[in-house]
Amino acid sequence: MSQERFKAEILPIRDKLFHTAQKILHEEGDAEDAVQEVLLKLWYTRDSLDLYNNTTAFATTVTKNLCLDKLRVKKRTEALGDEHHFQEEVDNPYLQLERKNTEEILRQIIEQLPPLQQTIIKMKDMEEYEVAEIAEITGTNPDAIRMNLSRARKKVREAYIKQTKL
Amino acid sequence: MLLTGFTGIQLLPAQNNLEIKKAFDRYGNKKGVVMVELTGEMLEDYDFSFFKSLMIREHPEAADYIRKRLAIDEVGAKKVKQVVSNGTPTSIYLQLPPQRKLHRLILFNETSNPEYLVTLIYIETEHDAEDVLKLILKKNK
Amino acid sequence: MSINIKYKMTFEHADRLIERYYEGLTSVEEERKLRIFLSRKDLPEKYKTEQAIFSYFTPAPNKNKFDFTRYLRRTGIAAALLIGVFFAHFFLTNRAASYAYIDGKKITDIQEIKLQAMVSLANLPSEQTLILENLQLILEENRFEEKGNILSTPQ
Repeated sequence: MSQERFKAEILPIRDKLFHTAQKILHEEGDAEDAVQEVLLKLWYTRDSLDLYNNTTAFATTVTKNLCLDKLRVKKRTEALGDEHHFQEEVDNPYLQLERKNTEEILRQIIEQLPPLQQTIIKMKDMEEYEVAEIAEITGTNPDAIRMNLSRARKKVREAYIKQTKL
Repeated sequence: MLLTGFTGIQLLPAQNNLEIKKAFDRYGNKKGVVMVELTGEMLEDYDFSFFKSLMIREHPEAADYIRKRLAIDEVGAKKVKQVVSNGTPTSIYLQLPPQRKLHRLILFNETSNPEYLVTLIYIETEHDAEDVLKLILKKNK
Repeated sequence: MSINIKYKMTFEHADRLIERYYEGLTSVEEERKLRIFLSRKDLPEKYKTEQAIFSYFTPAPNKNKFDFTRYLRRTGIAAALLIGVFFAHFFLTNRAASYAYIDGKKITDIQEIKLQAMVSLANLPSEQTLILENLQLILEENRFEEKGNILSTPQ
């Protein structure tokens, strides 16, 4: 499925997906992140979407599943907060006993990024999508993508410096 | 040709001796789990003949359980893909030795981002397993 | 590694690009140029982190090979291929024996069953170029070993 067709068929249900997300997650920011993640997931399975006759049902199911998962995580880490959760992973001494080549360090850091940031950094740095393209797929403005990309890259830098200082 | 177990799950002979069958039996009916089975003689002439999947949430021990089963099933199989995280394989794709005309694939994935989710998929096809596998991977890119 | 004999990036230019990189402002082309700069052997210590990061994100060995997956992505051809047939026969035929269990409850609605099958496939991770390259290497290795048809005579 081409990007144009994806936009024409999938983006119209974005609002519906957003409302579904918001019903579960309540906060607009979280719902917006969730919708972007879902759209990126749909983008990567777009060639199968052609052949399933109820894209809306599929997209809604994916959204519900994702949001319920996020809600569980949120409830679990409420006391600690997001940043702390991430730091915790990075500071864990047991993780640091692992074989420590550069590639493994970076892979772990990236795998621990929040899902949306992780997808965006991979799309940009590994798959060479432009920010504008990612914005089109997720139906947002490029600044929103740029902000997440910037945050992700800075986190990667910080975490890498921290881990290699030892 | 078709065997029916006590649970009413139909088993094709090609699946009987696989360890992962135990994973489907053990988790298939549990809370937090979605199990799907798609089958039918009508698919005989087509690209695959059997599809079975598990999506497991809320059972954190399931991933290890499945990995242990896979360690047995992978003997003699081709491990076409593996992703290792902290020394543990979190994605394993196996191409099992062909049985009569059937090629069989097992796809396993464990994720904890954002939340714990294990996916196990078993596919039987009379067609080129490699092509099917490559397309599943390309589809996801 | 390609060498541009007309222009060798200055440290000042590189520093500025790196700054913009962390702000998410660089284009794919600028990042490519930055990667070339960072792959030089003679760079001062201060570029160590960026060298590691850019090296990690470099698609592995077959850089000059035609990127088939990217081509597929760009042209949307994949839909017409096997996976399409895979799903078509899958979803178009009614499976009397098919079923799903959700939270232990049996579902016989064929639409719901198909939906969940599709969701399970969507849970498989998106492939990084890196891992896909590894897969290609593994498949090529096996091909070399067995000298011909991998799917050889049934056992």
